[in-house]
Order: sequence, then C-alpha cells, then structure tokens
Amino acid sequence: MNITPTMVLVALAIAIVCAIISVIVVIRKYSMKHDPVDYPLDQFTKLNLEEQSDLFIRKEVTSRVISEDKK
Amino acid sequence: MPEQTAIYECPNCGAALTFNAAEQLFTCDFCLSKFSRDEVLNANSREKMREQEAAEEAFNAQMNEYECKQCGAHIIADENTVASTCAYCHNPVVLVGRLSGEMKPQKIIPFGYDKAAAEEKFFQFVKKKWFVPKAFFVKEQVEKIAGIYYPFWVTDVNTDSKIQARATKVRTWRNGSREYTETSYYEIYRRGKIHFEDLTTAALSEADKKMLEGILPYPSAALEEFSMPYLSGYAAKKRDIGQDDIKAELKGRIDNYSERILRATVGSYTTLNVYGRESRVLNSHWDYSLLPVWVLTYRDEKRGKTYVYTMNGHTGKVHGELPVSRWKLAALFGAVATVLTGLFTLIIGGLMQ
Repeated sequence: MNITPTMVLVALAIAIVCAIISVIVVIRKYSMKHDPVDYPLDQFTKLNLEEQSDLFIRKEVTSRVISEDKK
Repeated sequence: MPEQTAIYECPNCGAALTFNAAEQLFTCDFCLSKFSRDEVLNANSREKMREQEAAEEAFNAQMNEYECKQCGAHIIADENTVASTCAYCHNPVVLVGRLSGEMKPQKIIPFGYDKAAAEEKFFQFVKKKWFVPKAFFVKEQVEKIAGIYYPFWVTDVNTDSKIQARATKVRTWRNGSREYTETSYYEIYRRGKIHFEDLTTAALSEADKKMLEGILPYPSAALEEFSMPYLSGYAAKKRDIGQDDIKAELKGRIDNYSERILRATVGSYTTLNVYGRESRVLNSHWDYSLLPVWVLTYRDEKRGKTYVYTMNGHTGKVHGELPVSRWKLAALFGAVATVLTGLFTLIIGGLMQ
C-alpha cells in the first residue's frame, strides 16, 4: 500500500473534526443542556390501534449503466 | 395577624415529630419513639383539628408572616412556602392555611431516603462520571443540602390520535452492466386511542423548570393521598401555576408523543414522511402533587463557582451541570484524533489503490 503525505493530511483533518465533535458531545452531556424531560413511552402509555391502512399508490423503476471502471 | 401553624407533637413527650425517610415512620428526636402516619393523625385531638380548620378558613393570602407555635417567634416566609423550619427553635412548621381549598394537594410522594443517604447517592453518581476532575468533589465543600417538596401537576390523559404519512420502499438490483432501482409509494394512515399516565409538569414559576423536570420520572406506584404530617421536617412550596397555564405546553408534548407512538406501528419502509397529525383529548385527570426533591449546593473554591444540583427524592436521579477536567478532555481529543488518523489513512489508502 502506497501512503502519501496528502492521504495522511486528509485523514488527519477528518480525524480532528471527529475528535472535536466527541469533545463537544461530552461537554454538552455534562452541562445537561439537552431537553431534560424524560417520559418513558413504553412504561407510561398504552395504545389501542383502531384503524390502519398501508395503501399502495404506484411504482416506478429507473435504471443506469454502470461503467467498467466503477465496478 | 400572624398565620396559624401546625406542629405534629409526639404523643409520648410532646416534642415535635419529623418524618424519617429512611424508615418511613415519624420519629421523635427526644424520646426516640416512632409512629406511623395513622398514629400521628389519631394523636391529634379533635379540638386541635377544629383549631386548624378554623385557621385555614381565616387565612389571608396576602399575609406572609407566621407565628411558630412552639416558641412564638414571628417568621416571614415567601408566599409560596408552605413548610419550613423555625429559625429560632429549629422545629418544623407547616403553614396549614396555605394548603387549603383549591391549594390543597391531592397526592404526595414521601421522601424515600434521608439526607445522609442523599449525599452518599450524589457522590456515587459523580464517581461514575469519568470526565469530572478527580479531586473536585469533596464532602466538606457541600454548602447546603435541603429536602424540599416541590409542586407538580401529574396528569392522566386519554386521546384519539391519528397520523397520515407517505412512505417509500426502495429496491435495487443489477443485470449485466445495468443497475435498476424500483421505488414503491404508499399512503399510510394510523388512528387509535392512547392513554397517557402520569404526565408530570413543574407547577412553580420561581423554580428552574429544567432542574425540576430533569429528575423525572417519579414512579406512579409511590403516589399516596396527601397527608400534612409528611411535610414535617422538610421545606415545601405551593403551586403558582394553574392547569390553564400549562395546557398548551402539555398538548404540544402529547402531540409529539402520539406521533412517535403511531409511527412505531408502521412497518419497515425506506422512508416515512408524516404530513398530517391530530390528537383530540377525550378526557383528562389532574392531580396537584407534592414531589420530593433534594437540592444540593456545591461550592468549587478553585474555580470560584457554585454548582446547584437537584436529586429525585425517591429514585435518586441527579440533574445539574458537572465540571469537566480540561486534561481529560485533551486526552480524549488526542486519543480519538490519533486512532482515527491511522484508521482513515488505511481506508483512504485502500480506496486509492
């Protein structure tokens, strides 16, 4: 495998963005700024489903040619 | 004229009783006797009960001054306080007049554990948080921990809800050098009756709503009929937010929950786009409830900052901002960047070959 400095720089840039996101997630979680209302739906609600329908409307088919070098 | 107060006295020695959350009994700190709620209520003589009822009827909502029945001290309390401790003799006092008529709660959840257990639960919670500075939480820096009954509206609602949506199923396959994509379109409709149990909303405007609602939920099985003696030994606040003030907010929550519940009944589609929803409230039941909250104030001398935490007085759930160690954050950044750089380099190298 031939690894060039450009590949490393691109990989580093993406990795830094991911690392920044992970730091932001931790800071937000510890600051408890997310919506705090916790209402477990499974525990506190009961559904009695009375009507349901899944009506098929139409179908469409498209196609494209896959070129050799994209295989 | 100062408002009348009530102190629940020990039948054996006459000292003030306090509610012991750890044992779920009323205890006397002087003669060490213990009583159940019924024994405490029965111990009040009929004459005392009539005096208390007369005090409730004569209550003037504008008065914020009350008289401690034990020592006679005149204490000023804010208009939302219904239970407190006398600053002079330190006996618990309950402002009975403020919990009468439409201001009388229907339900209460008594404290499930005492102050020492609350502190212990809090430090156990903090120990699990890896990014909190190790030497940050020291028991000596806990400025204040107070047990307070806060007012909430606990609502049961029945709705007739429906959603309309458009969905697609996408399938692809190849034949030689051609790739085919088949998209099927569906019109989805769901309607049903939904029962919501114990939708809980804070009912005190002066309190930080997020701090109170962050410790929800409380277990509905723990709700009991309201009884005044439970307030003894704790502070308590009465509501200043009525049903009409929160109906719109509650309806918004119900609409969102209804959509989530009905969406979950739709089978697996590639895409699902809800374009119409409606929730009609059929009936509702509102209980004005006092729920237990431990409020803990922590002073960080190093940063010169005070942190406030609320803890569910029954389940122990904690809410509040936690400090984050800069060194640990830097270590996280370094570790993630290093590992992912190596991983992405291999992936890009593999793709470019």
